[in-house]
Amino acid sequence: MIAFERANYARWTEAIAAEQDRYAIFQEWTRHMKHITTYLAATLLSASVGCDDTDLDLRSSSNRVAHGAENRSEQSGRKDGLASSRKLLVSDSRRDSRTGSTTERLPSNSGVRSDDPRHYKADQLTFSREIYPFLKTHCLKCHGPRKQEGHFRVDKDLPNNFLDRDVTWRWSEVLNVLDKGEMPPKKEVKPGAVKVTKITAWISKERLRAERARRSGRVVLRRMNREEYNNTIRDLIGVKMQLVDKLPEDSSAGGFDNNGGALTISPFHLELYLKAARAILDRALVDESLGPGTIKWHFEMENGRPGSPNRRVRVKENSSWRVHLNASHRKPYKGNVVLRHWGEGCSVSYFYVPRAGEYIIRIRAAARVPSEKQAREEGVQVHLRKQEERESKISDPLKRKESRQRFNKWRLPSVKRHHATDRSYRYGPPRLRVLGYLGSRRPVLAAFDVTAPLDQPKVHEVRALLTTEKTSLNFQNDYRIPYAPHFNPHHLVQRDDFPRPELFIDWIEIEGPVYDAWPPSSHTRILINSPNKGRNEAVYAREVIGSFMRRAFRREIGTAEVKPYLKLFKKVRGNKESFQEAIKVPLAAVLVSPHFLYLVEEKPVDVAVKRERERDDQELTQYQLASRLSYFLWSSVPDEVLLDLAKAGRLKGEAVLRRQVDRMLKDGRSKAFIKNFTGQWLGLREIGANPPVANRYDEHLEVSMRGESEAFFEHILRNDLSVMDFLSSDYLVINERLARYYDIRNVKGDHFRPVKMPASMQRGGLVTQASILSITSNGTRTSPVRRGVWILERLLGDPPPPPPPNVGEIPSSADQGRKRVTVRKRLQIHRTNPQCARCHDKIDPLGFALENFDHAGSWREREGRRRDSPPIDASAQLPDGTKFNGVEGLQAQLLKRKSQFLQCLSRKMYTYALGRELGYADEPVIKEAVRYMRAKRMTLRSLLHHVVSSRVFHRK
Amino acid sequence: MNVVRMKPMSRRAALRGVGACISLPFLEAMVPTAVKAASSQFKPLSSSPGAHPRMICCYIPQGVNIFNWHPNDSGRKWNLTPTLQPLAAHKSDFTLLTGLGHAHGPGGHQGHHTWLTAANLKGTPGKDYQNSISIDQVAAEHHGKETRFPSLELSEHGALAFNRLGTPLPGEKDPRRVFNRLFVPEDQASRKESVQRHIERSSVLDVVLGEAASLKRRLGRADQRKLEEYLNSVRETERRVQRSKKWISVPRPNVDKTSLKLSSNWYSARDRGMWLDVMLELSYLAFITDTTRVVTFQWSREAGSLTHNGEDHHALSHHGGDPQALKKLGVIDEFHVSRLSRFLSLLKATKEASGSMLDHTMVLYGSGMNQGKKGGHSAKDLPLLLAGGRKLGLKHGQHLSFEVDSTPLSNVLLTMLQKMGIERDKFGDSSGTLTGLV
Repeated sequence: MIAFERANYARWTEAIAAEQDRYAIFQEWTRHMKHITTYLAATLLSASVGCDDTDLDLRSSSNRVAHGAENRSEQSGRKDGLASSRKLLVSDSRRDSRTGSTTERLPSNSGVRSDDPRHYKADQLTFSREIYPFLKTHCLKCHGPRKQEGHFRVDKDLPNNFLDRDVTWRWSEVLNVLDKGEMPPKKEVKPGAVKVTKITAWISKERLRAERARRSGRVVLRRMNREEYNNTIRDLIGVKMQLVDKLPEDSSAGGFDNNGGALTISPFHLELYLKAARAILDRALVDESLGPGTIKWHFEMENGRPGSPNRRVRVKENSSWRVHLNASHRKPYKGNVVLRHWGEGCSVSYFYVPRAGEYIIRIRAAARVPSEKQAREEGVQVHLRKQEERESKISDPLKRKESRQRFNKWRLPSVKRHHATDRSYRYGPPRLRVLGYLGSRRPVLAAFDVTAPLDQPKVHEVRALLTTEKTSLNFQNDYRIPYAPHFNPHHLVQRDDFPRPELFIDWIEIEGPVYDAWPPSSHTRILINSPNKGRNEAVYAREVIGSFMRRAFRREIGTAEVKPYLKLFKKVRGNKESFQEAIKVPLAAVLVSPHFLYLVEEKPVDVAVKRERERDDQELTQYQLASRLSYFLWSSVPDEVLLDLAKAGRLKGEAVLRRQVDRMLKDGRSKAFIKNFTGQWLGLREIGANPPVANRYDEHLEVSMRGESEAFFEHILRNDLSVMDFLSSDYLVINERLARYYDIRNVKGDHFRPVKMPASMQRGGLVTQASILSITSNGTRTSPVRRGVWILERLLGDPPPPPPPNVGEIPSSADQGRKRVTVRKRLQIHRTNPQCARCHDKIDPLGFALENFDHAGSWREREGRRRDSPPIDASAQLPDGTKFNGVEGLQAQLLKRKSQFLQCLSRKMYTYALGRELGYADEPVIKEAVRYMRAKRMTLRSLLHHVVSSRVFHRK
Repeated sequence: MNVVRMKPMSRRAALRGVGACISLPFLEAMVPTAVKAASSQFKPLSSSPGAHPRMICCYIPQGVNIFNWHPNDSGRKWNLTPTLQPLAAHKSDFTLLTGLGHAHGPGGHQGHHTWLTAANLKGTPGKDYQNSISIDQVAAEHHGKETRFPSLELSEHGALAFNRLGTPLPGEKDPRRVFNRLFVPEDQASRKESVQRHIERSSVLDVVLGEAASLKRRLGRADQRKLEEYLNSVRETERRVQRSKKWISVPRPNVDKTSLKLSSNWYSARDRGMWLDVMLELSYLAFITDTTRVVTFQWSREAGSLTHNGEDHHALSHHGGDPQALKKLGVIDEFHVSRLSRFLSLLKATKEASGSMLDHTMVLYGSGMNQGKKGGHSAKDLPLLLAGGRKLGLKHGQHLSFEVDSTPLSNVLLTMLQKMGIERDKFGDSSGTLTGLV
């Protein structure tokens, strides 16, 4: 390899000297480039005018980098050569860094910098001498002026401009198809291997060089996103507030919304931060002299006045006003209000709590659930009763008889069949939903199953954040019986005698605000204990501000840094009645300071920074590392343990970092990691955005779907199971609602737990979860394309390109002239178009294998409800000819692509951990991570360990 | 309200009565057909106290059904296409513009980024994305000195407005918060206390500005650029504080909110019409009280599914020429235009100087994407119309048809800026004002 490189190098040097007609070639080439930018033209010119020594050196060194990379990929496949390749890898990378540093030094001497896009020069010489002629010979025939296979022209769409990410992406595709031998097609002349290698090496070299020039491989100063802001305030100040909704949605890049480049800040943000800071401090600091001032309202249902509408229950708050509970128009049952139907509820309406804060709502409730036998039998009885009522209205005895006969002949058999077989009559416990009306928001405060029997009601506690705005609370029965229009039309289901889970409420109590102590810890954490408290205001203010800043900025604070804030305190003190009011002003300033809002990773003050480059490329300080860790695993501020370790300088070494990861995962705050990572990696945040139109789908199912995928991830993480379970598992992690949905018996309770999958069932792994199956559907029908893309993008890390412009969706069934054509059939027609086939041959089979799951994730045998609906065909064929069938076939195919999945998962994890998109320079780290995971039983924990000990995690 | 009983046969009525008791997304799953909320009770005022040039830019995502939008005839004598029918009453007050687009329009669902900026997002070497200032912000800089708010950004999601750095200015979507921001004093405190609070706020900003400036010196170039966003925001907020200090003694206009449906939800199909109406009503109120003269309003997100009738807007935009999908799109488009028409009626019903408020208010309406005939996502030949502003010197009642690629959309933007009273002869890639419009 090295010899080959040298030869190459020599040849290129020669070429530069000998190149005479290159200017003409450039001109020819530019004619091909229609949409070339003026910028590129300028580069072209400069490249043609002078190739000084600096340039030369630069090119040759980065060429070596590329070959190094190639060595790695080539040899890692060969087992016997592993050791030697490692050696080679080491020597290569060493040389890389050495030559890399020479090149980096060189430009500063000559005033030209390699890592600045303004001074990046496209390697025009090689392009015109070797690359373009190659493309011309082998590709232009089908991807040129005459034919544009796949809407792609090598003479137009492949300018030598790697600074443009789209163009780079196209080049990478060229590299891929050449590497895999997919192009040129079999019937064409094969280019020699050496030639191909030269091209692919050049592409990887150029894209790496451009990446470095764009500095995209570095973490950009990033602000907290709104989730992180919310958590940070919770952990830093100790007050719970709904801050997420108050800030605008954050944009994401690379699939995650913690990306520094994508997170912008506008005056609107700042205005909101200012307002929030004020509100947070007003909440955190209390007037000690006032006392907690809690209220406690208790509503006993039997106290309702029978004469009043809805049997109103009153609580006297003070002499001037009262709080009402509107119970129900129904007669109370043994002192309980009865909530029979879905959506039926009672409410405490239009009240004001004296103070904003956290309140406890207690509900003593019970349930009555008909057994399966009762439910099935009584359901039929309702139909019979309804028929009797109908008959009683018919006066003519003959007609009455006719009606009965019709009913017995046509209606009754199907009704009986429905009630005997339909799964929905295996009822679960009723569900109580507490809905709040807080100002303009209407959040669901809590929803839970009520299982206690009527003779032993249970007290449930709900914690809710109430403000001093006008408030209402609504308590509803949230158990919905799937509506079967043909057998149980609405007027039957809504009858009171229809068997159903019923909910009983004995009493309701509202108490609060609750404080962890008086004065609350949010207060004492800011106004710390000190001998100067109440004695020496100026000194005390310095102490308070200093300690607050240390925690808010997540690092040690220099005395000079406190000064401006202290000055601010002194400035406003004269106008304020109390110390407490005055201190809020500088503290609010701390909460809008860039050191708080951004995860600042600057060079420490005491280290002299002469050159700008050094600021960008540096080891993180201990405190900065602590923040990286905590925002990675907690989406929040580092705790005292991390800060103490940082202070002592002991946050280093693999052992310490791993211990910290394990400790942090045990902490409840790690739920944020699970929620945010899965929410974005798997797309769970999309659940509910376009909910499936399906009978069995309700809110409880929706939260359970999200819960299943999160719990599945958590189960694998906490129990150190292999991540291959994500692709295929013989267990499910479900709750009672999902068990009902998936038709699994004997799973009781709303919590998630692993359940061994019944042998007859075809599920397991992520792709068969109702969450994933429904977000990859269209609301009313499945979309094999979306499912295929989801798998390629999220599991295999091989996202297909977006469809070319002017290509619509798949033709609708109407276009085919036949009424009932399956989605599959329509897609097949669509794929006869070679331009579509190029990607869809790869995408569609993956989705076809999942066709047995409908758009809401239920199992189905036919596409459609009718008996003559076409049966599902879940067979599939990959572009390479491999055939497989259904879920099991798909799982087997996925398991075969083990390393592809591990790479994809590692990439996602690294992207999330670093808060930046990964580049070509990060490939070795990913490969290393995969190797590490393979050695450690492929647990998620091993991946997390690898992330925190990796070099990139410790550098800017 | 407290007890919900679903009556047979009357689900609609039940739903209307239940109102918000039931979680909404789920409700839509149950009821795929349109359930219309009660219509707005808002009435326009009879006259406006002062005549000012104003502009509002309304953005519709995912383009429109071009068959039902694009007329075959042009010039002064042209016939309204099906989608534009709701505008029949305003035919002499708007101009339909076809064939226009941005030379560097990114295509796909990204049109809103450059709709008002005309930027070449990839034109800056080494950066994947660099936007520039949008016309509303140019106008806001000019008129902002005279109004309490230089501009108002409304949006279900995404941003139309970009400041001088090209940073997106996200919009408000909660009608109640918009109302409070515009018309409710920040605190009921006395004037002295308000002044005090403003001074405090300035001092807070001073401190963090100083801190950011010293931090900037220790950062690398990429981080510096990032921090510049922050610095700019602080400076701008400081300017706003200064400005609002001047406004303390000016009482907020007394606006009656009883007829405004401020609790309309931006995420719900059921409230969709109501929400669009109330946001436009708030814009109307902001204009008539001269609280601002510049509004941008993105009606919903690009590549999003939200519609008024439960259809998936984004999926439909990839119609591939399918007549059924096109029909459904036409329904959505017409619904949007009907909301626009209602807004124009409000403006027209209010007298201002020698004409109506509409004569002094330019309403740009359209999308940054063209579905074409096959469900493409092109940035050329955008669906656009410009209404109002006759007293500012615009000619209306016509269909101006341009050869595709012949005329930049920036010409419209430049025309609007000039009619806002701003002296400049270039915006973006403009080649002059738009022929036929002035």
